[in-house]
Amino acid sequence: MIISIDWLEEYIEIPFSDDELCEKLTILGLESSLDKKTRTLDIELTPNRPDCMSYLGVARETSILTNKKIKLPKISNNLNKNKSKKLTITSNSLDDCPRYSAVIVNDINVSKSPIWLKDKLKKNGIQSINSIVDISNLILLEFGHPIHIFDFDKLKTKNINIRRAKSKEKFLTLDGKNRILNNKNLLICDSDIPIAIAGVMGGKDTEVTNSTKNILIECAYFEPICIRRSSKGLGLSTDASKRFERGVDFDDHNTVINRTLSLISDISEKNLSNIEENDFYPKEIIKKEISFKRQNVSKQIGVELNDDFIKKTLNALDITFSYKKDDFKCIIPSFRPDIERPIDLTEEFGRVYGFDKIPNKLSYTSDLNTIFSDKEEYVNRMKNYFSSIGFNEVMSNSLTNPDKEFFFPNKKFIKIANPLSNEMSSMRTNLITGLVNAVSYNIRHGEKNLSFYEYGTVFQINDNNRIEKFNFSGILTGKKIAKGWRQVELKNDFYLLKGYLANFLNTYNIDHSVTKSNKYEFLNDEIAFNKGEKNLFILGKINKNILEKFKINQEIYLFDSNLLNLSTLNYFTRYKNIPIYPSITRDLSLTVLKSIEIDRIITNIKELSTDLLENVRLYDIYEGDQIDSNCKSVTFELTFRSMNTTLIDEDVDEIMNKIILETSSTLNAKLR
Amino acid sequence: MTLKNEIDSLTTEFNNSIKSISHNDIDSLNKIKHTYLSRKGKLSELFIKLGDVDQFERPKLGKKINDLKKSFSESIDEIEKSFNSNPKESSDENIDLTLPGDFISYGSKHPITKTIDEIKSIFSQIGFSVAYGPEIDDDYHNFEALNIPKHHPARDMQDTFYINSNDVLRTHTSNTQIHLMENSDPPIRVICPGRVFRNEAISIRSYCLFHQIEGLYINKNVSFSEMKGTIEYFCKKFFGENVVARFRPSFFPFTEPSAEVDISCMMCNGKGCSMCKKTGWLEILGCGLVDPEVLKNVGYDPEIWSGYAWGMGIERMAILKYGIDDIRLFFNGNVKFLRQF
Repeated sequence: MIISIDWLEEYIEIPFSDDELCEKLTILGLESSLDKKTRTLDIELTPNRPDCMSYLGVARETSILTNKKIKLPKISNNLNKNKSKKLTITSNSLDDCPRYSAVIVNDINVSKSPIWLKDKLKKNGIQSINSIVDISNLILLEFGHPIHIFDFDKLKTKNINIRRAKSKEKFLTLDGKNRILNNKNLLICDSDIPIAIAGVMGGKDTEVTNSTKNILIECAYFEPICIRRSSKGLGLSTDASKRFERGVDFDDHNTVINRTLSLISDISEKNLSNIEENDFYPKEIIKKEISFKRQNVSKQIGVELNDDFIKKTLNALDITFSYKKDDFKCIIPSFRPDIERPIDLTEEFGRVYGFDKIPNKLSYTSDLNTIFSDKEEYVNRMKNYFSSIGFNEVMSNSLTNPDKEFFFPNKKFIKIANPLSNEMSSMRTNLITGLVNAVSYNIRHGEKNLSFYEYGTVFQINDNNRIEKFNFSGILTGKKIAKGWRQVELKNDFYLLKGYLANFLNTYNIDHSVTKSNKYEFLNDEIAFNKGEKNLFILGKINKNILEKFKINQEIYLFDSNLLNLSTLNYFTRYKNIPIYPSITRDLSLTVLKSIEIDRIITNIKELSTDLLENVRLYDIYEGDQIDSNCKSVTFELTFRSMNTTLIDEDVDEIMNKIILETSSTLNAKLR
Repeated sequence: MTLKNEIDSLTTEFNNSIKSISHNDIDSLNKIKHTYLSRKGKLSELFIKLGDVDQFERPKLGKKINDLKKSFSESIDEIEKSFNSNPKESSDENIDLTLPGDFISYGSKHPITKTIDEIKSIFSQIGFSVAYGPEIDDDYHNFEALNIPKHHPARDMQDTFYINSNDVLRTHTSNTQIHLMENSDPPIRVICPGRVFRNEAISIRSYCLFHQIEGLYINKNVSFSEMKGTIEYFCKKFFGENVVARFRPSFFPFTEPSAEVDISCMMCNGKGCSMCKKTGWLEILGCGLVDPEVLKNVGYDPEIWSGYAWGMGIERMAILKYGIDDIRLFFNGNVKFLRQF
């Protein structure tokens, strides 16, 4: 709402500078910004304050600050109005329109508006049309109560009927557009011919023009929800509908009409005679009554409010009241639809007292424990771990384009009914696509060495049920460490990632197995870290064919995990006795066929050793001229230790001989 | 002065200068050594003067000077030794201490994570737990239960993505509070971080999703004053002790009274600059006492229980804290951005 301070001063004396006024209104709840040049305030109104969508409303709020009453504009009260004989009002929709006041004014002149009127409208961004239309706009700004003026002679039957529109009923609105209506729209009709969409916009056919002689002024109270539905349904939001849908004053009809008549009389410089009125108001709307206890308000705010303050505030807010000790009974003015309950009055007391004057109390109560979930703890651990070993955390959009889902093309998407664009029309089913997109983005921008992870919600459909899962996925490519003056180059590759994941599980003492896996079609060289049957991590290298679709031509490795599997592990760290007897280490170099996997050799060694074998560490693999071309030589360091005695060489020799003997027959391994 | 006297005074002089040497001051010690014991040193001068001395006195004085030389060099040696009482192992002479150390590589957490972590830590210190809720929820939990009925103008405050006529992408994390209250008895003290969605075109200033943290405290006799204290505590911890928090009346359907909180602009200390659009204030969060309707909706008796709630946008916090100028940077994965945190 734009408020010109010059104009506002017609209703209230303002003892502050413009800056102060702006600041004070903001603190009172009308968030204002000031344009110093034009002396206008731009007030950002919350939807609960329709009363302030008007100059008089803002003047009333200002009067709370100045402790002075507002001055109403010139309103003639000695007008000669007769009950209309020409006009009847009927309604098929009483709930939608509890009050409809109409006034017929005969023999008027429609002219150009005087400059002062044009100026006022201009300040509020409204174009001048003619004196009558401009007056109705002035009333809208002044009172916040929209009125509509019809050319009375264009009404054929002179019987106003209020009803809901029929399905597909057509109507030409003032702006020249043909509207197709439905049952949500409330209509003002001339018998059955629609002349206005109630509270939203009038009709072209009954518009006031320069040749209009007799007019019908409508001042009505429409049910807010009805107007809201009507306006939303049409996609037509007007100055009038914005006010009606928030709730206008149901008790100011006389004042509004009289003010309108004064303006018409003044501007046309003519005494109005022969005014006919018809106030259709079958059931009076009762002003709200609210009772409250002073003590309760004090408790809610946290400050002891005395009787004086309570009474002064109620007066400033135009609330009439009676009281007995601590119990107050109030009647709420008709322009404040937002005050409905005692708590709403508490807000009024709070803001008039000044939120900033309420003391800040920080209370620590010990009646509640701070709880952090397992999931929370796990997420923190994983984020800390991966960030500390060189990964950057990314966050990508949860909304994706299902046509560009290359990793899980067959998973069902949860679709958005009103998407921004096709690019963001569905919920992501995985984090991998987002990570690969991030990698592709960076490669295009010249960054080729990347390690990313993301933690977030993914959305899937299982048996027609929507589910939200928490995934933790990571991706790496390029180099981890470039060749340096003494460091060798380290690639972001399969073995590095495998090491990262094993390290993470070992850091938290999570026993696990590692197996080959074939879960994801888009992965080559896929393995899984498992706890029992559950996959903790899946890791592998992304298929080239898919990477081409992202225009990536470097190798990319990724891991994927479902946090539920990780965070529900019951792991428990238990202390183990520290060995007191020394260990013996032996090297073992075996030459085997290249096709024999390391895991098979280690399993053999472990099976052949007793529990004296403490550790097997692979430390060299050799392929080359010194051995057969289809062979490789692998070297292990074996550590033996007994918890009960000092081992002697003979004990270990025996095991070593057994390993050498047995592997030569089972793996055809040769000692090197 | 006789040579004998000169010998005595030189002895005193030497002893005094030796005493004045501080520990490990090898330079001063070398200077003294040079002054007294070098070829042109003070003792050598005495030896020269010996030639002028009576020949009967000469052997006696000569011995004395010789003893003195021995004693001087012993004193100096002794001090030199004490200097080296903890000698360093001889180091590799070829080491260049200025060569770079090995590169290990370092990663980063997302600024949103860092901001959430910081806010969580501040509130956990005053007893708040953490709760999470679904990102897709029904109209009831996202709107109705929060006192935002259908066809209420307040729905215009948030542009909503719909899955169907009844299910939405949550527009705030308040749905978590409803689920939590439905499933547990008061008192409750919790913060709810999470991702929320708004149907808004993507630009420098807006994105179709962002992150929120909301807080909820339900107990007996909770007052506006306590809410103010808690929020002011947070503002000072997060933005710095000098920051002033301003509370001004506002409107949210789920709180009454409702307030919007501004902090004094930390760029200009409230004087007005481009960051605060010349107002001196930065809007950071909304808060209020939980509306009795909301309490009723979850089955709490508003005559017994009351509470406060607040909510803020994490991106907004991070933008203010780190001076980020484009909200899209949070979500496009640009590693040049991510590495800065």
